[in-house]
Amino acid sequence: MKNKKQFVGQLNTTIIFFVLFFGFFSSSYAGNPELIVTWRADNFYPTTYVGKAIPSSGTKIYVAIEAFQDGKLLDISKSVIEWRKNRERIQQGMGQKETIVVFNENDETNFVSVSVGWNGGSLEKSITIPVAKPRLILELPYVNGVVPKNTDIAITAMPYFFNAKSFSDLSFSWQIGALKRGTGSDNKIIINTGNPSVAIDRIVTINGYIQNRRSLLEITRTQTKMIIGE
Amino acid sequence: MKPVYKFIVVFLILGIIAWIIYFVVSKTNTGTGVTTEISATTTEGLIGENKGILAESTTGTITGQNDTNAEISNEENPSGAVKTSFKELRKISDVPAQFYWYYAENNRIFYITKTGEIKKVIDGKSEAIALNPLSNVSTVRPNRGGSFVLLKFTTDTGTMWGVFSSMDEKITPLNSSIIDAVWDFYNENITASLSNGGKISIVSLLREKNYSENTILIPEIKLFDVDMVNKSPNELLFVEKFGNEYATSIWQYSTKTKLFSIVRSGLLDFSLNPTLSAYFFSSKNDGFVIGNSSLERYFPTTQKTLPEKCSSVLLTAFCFVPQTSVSFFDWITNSVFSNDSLYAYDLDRQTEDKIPISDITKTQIDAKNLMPTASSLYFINKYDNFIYAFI
Repeated sequence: MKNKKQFVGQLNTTIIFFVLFFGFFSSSYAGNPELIVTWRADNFYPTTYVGKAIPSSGTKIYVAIEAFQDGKLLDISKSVIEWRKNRERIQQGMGQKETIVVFNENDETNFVSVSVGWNGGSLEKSITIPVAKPRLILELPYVNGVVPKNTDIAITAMPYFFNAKSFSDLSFSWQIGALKRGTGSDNKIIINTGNPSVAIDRIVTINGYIQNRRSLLEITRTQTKMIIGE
Repeated sequence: MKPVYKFIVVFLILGIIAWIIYFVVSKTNTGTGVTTEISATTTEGLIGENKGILAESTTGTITGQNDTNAEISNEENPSGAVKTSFKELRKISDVPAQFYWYYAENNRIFYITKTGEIKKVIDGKSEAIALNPLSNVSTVRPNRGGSFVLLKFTTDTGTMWGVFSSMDEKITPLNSSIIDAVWDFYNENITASLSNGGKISIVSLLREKNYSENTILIPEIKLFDVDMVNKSPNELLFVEKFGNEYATSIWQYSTKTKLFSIVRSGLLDFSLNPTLSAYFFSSKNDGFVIGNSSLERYFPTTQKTLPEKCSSVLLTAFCFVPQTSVSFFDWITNSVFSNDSLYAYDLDRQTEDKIPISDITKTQIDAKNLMPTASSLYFINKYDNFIYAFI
């Protein structure tokens, strides 16, 4: 009986030792938590564009964070999450996995950093978000811009990354050779390469202008060349 | 037995159990945990993974599990069965098309015009189907075989997703909370991200329940600007959208082990076009690659092109190759137009052949949205946005 009690006692000691040993073993094995920061810019681009929208000055940028460790997504809804834009705190709170950042002309850098309270410490991650000027692309669907003579040519102006909601917020105008024309919200113009006011020379300079009615500082000009072939 | 010996025996047994547990755990995590690279698979591995599906890819029918151990051979699915020499370039649509798909069961092309009208081509003639035109169609994702098509468009109440049946020519509206949706690996259910009170979950919408019921794959995850790719029955890739000079990352989630991992990161100007038998991708880091689903090059190419100018059927890939190099951003924004040559790749024999097309047509081609079938190669020519086919 005494031996049995002694054995049970030793067994308990062994199990406790084992649990502590294995607990230490597994904790030392655990990898470091990693943070994933993703973002999307809320601005205007054609529905055919399949790439990532690049923010311009004044664009709302939605930024989100996830964390995982050893492959498992971590529940950070109880963690204090702090967001900073160019080192300045913009938001802090428990489980704040998402924030909105806006960069302006005055911002010299475009850093977003986040820290997540975790296990008494903090996890940190910083990213740089590219900020670019809105772009206007003039679509002239001819190889090297060489177009046939005496033909109606359609040129389309496509806006990218303007802080607009739709085409109705945008205003287009053109200068093609000696021809000047505003087309309002219509982003297409058709010109005839036999028109003497257009085809002054064999090489015709096309200027497309766009202005955002919601943000009058968003005005862009793009130039391309059209070569009238034989 | 003396107690001390019993103690030692029990200790040893527990020690062995601990070691076995550690061994199993470490093996599991090596395969699916946080890694920067996924181990290489060979051409045979990639094709073998998809054998069951590949065999169906041109018929549009769906079968069950694929055979992960088997290899596909030319005898079973001869790549020679895919036509790689053409006699004619035929204009398929009667107006410019925004999107199109090939409905294999009826050997029929459907397309969506710029005004949102859905048309089908019967005996070379386009006819509109009896549906009101859709507004602002921004995404069209046919399943393999084109029998069902995911559509994203807008209505008076906002953006919505629907499933178009090529057989019934009707649209089934999907849950209004859907943010993004793709077909699952088996071509049957839909993997979708759903927004619910600001929380985003990844779910599987079940065809057998007419896509109105779902099973949750990831209860909560928020990743912005990512595309989902069902790499295998149990592996879902999240690929950050192409950003002009922005470093892209790719993550993978295993629905089986519920583990998340980094596949690649720091990819500049990355774009991906996954197909069943090959993944076409490019980045500043790697250049243009015909690779496997682990994003590793398995096919040496001499030509540089854009992934969106490639596609494959069975063991044959086709790529249109610009005669002068173009940047992806310039190309997708139509800032530049290319003049393409055409190449065929035998993915089994690893051969690359230029297909002579200048004898067939003098039309300049800047191709996108390729759809190869066993007998034709369909594509949209960006110069006029009509659908064409090499036959």
